[in-house]
Formats: sequence, C-alpha cells, structure tokens
Amino acid sequence: MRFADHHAAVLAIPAVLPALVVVGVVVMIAVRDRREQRRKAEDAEDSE
Amino acid sequence: MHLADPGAAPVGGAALDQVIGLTVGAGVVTLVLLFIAWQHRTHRIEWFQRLGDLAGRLLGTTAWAALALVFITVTLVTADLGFMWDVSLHAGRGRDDGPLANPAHYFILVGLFFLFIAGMAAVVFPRDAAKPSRSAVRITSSWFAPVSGIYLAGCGLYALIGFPLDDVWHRLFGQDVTLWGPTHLMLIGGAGLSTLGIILLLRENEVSANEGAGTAPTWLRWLIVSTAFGAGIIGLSVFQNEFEYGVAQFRMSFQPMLIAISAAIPLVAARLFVGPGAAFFAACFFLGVRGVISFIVTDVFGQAHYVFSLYLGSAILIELLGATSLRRKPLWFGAVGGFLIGTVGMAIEAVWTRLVFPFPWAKDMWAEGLAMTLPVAVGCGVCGALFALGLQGRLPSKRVSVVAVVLTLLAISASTANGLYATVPDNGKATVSLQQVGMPGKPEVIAKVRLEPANLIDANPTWVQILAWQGGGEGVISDRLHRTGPNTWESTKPMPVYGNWKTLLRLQDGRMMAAVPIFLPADEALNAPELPASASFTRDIVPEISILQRERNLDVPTWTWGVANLVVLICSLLVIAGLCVTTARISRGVAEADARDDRLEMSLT
Repeated sequence: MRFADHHAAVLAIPAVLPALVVVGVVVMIAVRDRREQRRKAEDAEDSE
Repeated sequence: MHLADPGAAPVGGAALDQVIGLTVGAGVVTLVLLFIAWQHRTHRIEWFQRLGDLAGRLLGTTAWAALALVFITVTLVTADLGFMWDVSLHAGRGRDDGPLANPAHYFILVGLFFLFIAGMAAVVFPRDAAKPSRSAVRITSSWFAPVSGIYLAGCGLYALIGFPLDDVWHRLFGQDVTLWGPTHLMLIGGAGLSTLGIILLLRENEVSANEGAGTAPTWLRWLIVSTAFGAGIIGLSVFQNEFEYGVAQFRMSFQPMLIAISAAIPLVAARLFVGPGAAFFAACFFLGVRGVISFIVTDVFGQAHYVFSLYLGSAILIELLGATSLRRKPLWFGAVGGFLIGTVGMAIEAVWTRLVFPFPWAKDMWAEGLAMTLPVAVGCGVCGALFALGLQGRLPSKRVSVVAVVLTLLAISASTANGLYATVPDNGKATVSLQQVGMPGKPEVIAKVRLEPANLIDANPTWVQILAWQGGGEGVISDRLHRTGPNTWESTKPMPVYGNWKTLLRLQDGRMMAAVPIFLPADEALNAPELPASASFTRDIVPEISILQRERNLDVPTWTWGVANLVVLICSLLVIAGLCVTTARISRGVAEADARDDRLEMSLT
C-alpha cells in the first residue's frame, strides 16, 4: 500500500479532520449541558 | 506551478511535504478559530462582537448574518474558481501526479473548509442566551444557533466528507476521470446547495432584525437577495460541467433536464419572493460571474475552453408569467413556470447550444430530452414556489409540501435512471483509414471512417465525433465528423495522435453510446501498452468507459458498487432533507413574527 494510492484521503486530512473536531466540540458541549440540566432537574425533584 | 507529465503520473499521488504543511496550517487555523470562539463566548474578548456589529451595519443585517455572509462570499468565489480550473486541468491533462500537485485543489479545499467555517461563524456568534432569530436551535441553555448557520456548516461538512469517501471510492473502483463520480457529486453538490442556504440565512436574519436591529434599505436588500438567487443558479448548474467542455461521458438528453433544474428552482423562487426583475437579474448575475471565471480560467490560466447555458430565455418567461395574476397562486405559478422553462425555455437553450456549444442538441434527442425534462421542470418549479412560500412564512400544509418534494425527487431519479441507460452495439466495427498530416514528431491525422453494420447510425445521430483530450495545456479538441455516405464519415480537421493525447471516435445515436479508440498512449502506472494510430485498421466498437476512464477498475463485484452508491445517496438525501427542514423552520419563524406584527397593529388601532 503506497502513500501515493490515497490521493483524496491525503487531501482530506487538512480539511476534514479540523471540521470534525469543531463539530465534535460543539456536540460535546451540547450533550454535557443537557446532561447537567437533567441532573439539576432530578436534584430538584429529589429535594422536593 | 508544477504539473508533471500525466503519462508518468501515478494513479494515486504523492506530495507529502505539501500535505504536512497544509495540515499544520489548517490545524493552527482551527485552533485559533476555536480559541476565538471560546474567548468570544466567555466575554474574554469584545473585538469579535464589534467586528460583527460593523459588518452588520455595512450590510444592513444582524451581526451573525453579516459575518457568515462575508465568509461565504469569499468561499464560493474561491471554490467556484478552483472547481472550474480543476475541471479544465483534468480535461486538458488527465489525472494528477499528486493531491496538491494540481494548484486548483488548494482553492477547492480552502473554499470548502471556509464554507464550513462560514456556517460555524453564525453558530458561535450569538452569546449570553440571546436568541439570534425565532427559528434558532437551542444548543445549550445559554446558546442558541441560527438554523441556517447549522445548514451551511452541514453543507460544508457534507462536501468535505466527499474527500475521504472519494479515496475509498478510488481504491475500490480505480480513479474515475469524470465529474459525475458519485463522490465528486458530493464535493460539488455540497457547495452548490449551500447557495440556497445563503438565501435562508438572509431571511432568518430579517426575522430577527425586524425585532430590534435596523434592516437594510429596500434597494440594497433587493440587490443582495437577487444576487443570492443568481448564486443559486451557479450552485445548481455545477452538474452540467462535462457538457460545457464538450466531453460529456453521458447521454445528451441529460443536459436539458439539468438546465431545467437549475433554472426552475431559483428563477421561480426569485420572482415570487423578491418581486419583478429579480429572476432576470439573477440570470444576468449568473452570466456575469460565469463569464468572468471562464475568462480567468481559459484566457489567463490558459486551460481548456468551455461555454455555459444562457438562462436568459427562462428568466424572461418567468418575468412575463409574473406579470399575470397567476403569481397570486404560487404553486400553480411554479408548475406553469416550470412547464414554460421545460418547453419554450429549453427551445431557446437548444438554439443557444447550436450557436456556442461544441455539440448542439441533435434532433435525435429532442423527444427523449423533452420527456426527461418536462416532469422535472414542473416539479422543480413547484419546489421553487415552495421555497419562496417558506421564505414568506406561508408554506402550505406539511403533506402538500412533502408530497411535492418527494414527487420531484422521484421524477429526477426516473429521468436520471433513463439517462444512464445506454447500450453498446453487438458486433459493431469501425474501419478507419488515417492520413497523416502535422509535423514530424507531432503527427496529426485526418480520418475516414466506415461503420458496420451499415444501418448502425440513423439519419440524425446525436454525434459522430473524434475527441482528443488530456494532451496537456488546452487539451480538449473535438471534431464533428462530416457524413459522406450512409455509413461513412470523414474528419474536418486534423487530430493529434502523439504524446499523452487520448484520441477516439465517439458515437451516440438514441440509446446507443459507444466509441472506438484511435490512439491511446502507453500508461506504465496502469500497465497498459500504447495503442498506435496505424494507417488503417478495423477495431471493435466498445463501451466508452473502457477508453475514457482507462483508470477505472471494472472487476469489482456489482454489490460493492451498489453499496457505495447507496452511502452517497443517503448522505445526499440527508442534505436535501436538511434544506427542507431548515426552510420549514424558518417559515414557522417568519409566520410567528408576522402574527406578532399583526397583533401589535391591532392593539395600536
């Protein structure tokens, strides 16, 4: 398997990876926020 | 700029130092952007907010929309220039000797990356739980993102994912030197469909701008939105490229259908949403931009020449229809507009192909072209009307909208399936005698051709041509052969048969699409010997793909082809679904804002 055989995959590294990193960060923030809110809601229920 | 001898170019490519450089560069840019976004959202910096506010004041929009608009304009100009340049390079020189050895790839890569960044700029800008618009999507309890920004970033991501998929594709099937490789369609389709996202972004911005910030003056708004619809024509017309160079590897009946799609959706929507003159302006913008880019690619960079469709006829038809009372029934307006574009509009384009295109629409494809075009044109006209209604916050019921979009997609699929169905004659043979002209060392030939069986080609074939391409530089030469008898033809100009030129006789008549090689260079990377242009020879008529795409690996099992196409199809349907959902969400936001304005008026009176 030669480096030369992976024309487009090589092109993809500089562009696709950063984009996926950015999407990953945003999704992570969204998921963490939702999880925290759920926990808060549960805490509030428990204290009642 | 370095372009290696294409005959010696490996089928893959190698330029490790450039890739490392670009990766480091892109990595630093991403980190810096993430850092700025984080500092902006946590109030550690204020200059980003001020920059957005300034851009907003200049463009008469909200800050988040202005930033995205500036980014995306740069993006589309860069990507479109890179794309046209790239296709010219490939048509003229064949495959590349490395991923970044082709200078046009930098433009495409940077353009698509910034398309993603343009969308993300709109997503990260609104802070402190401020809702950028009524259609905003909640990301966290203190972060709301404009839905059009998410759609634009999605288009960028879809296009970028085309790169790694393209690699898998090439590994499975070999390199396909055609624009219509499914993964290539993702790359250009992502950028193409983002142009409709610009219009959605402008509208979403207006709904929020109405409730606070100032709006652009009427003339500026008219200009910006009409221009965006012109960009929409450019975006949707990217699929016609092979026809524009005269190197179409598909049946010609595709061309009117593709023009009808890129005419009907933006022109109908522009007239209904923006008003009189907008459709005409959009067509003029299309012609202006494509003209300038054509000038840069062919006259400044010296690459293969190409032409483009007119659209003016269709635009005038829509403007005329807009003067009737039918415009008060938008869906009917779209259907009738689509019908006019599919019939009269395409007749005008037929005349235009006769005037400027390398291969005019022959009589032989008129009926089939019309049958493939008309349902698609009517469907796209209705979809254009739906898009305009969405922007006005007046979408009809969900059922009507979904049925219209699904029927249109089915019409496009049926026409595409029919267009792809081509046949190769059994036992067809071509006897060719070549007279050598040209300089020693650079031989060129004049050909006399006799085809067997004698009734192979009817009175009106789509084309009987000799094409020579990938010879380097402005390397596309085509010659429509002169018919000298019922089954004999001869050249009208000499064709090159040396160096890296690939020279072949091409036949298209009805469903039949086939070719006979005249000269093919030796290709070490593919382990293929030279096919010489002897003084006279008789060769079998073979499928075009075996000559035009010698790089293709045709020995893979059919199911992998099916699965690979299915993956690309799913990604593409997701983007179209994204467009529909975004339009519907913005429509609801606009409707809510209008209802609120009405209530305010009522309470004041």
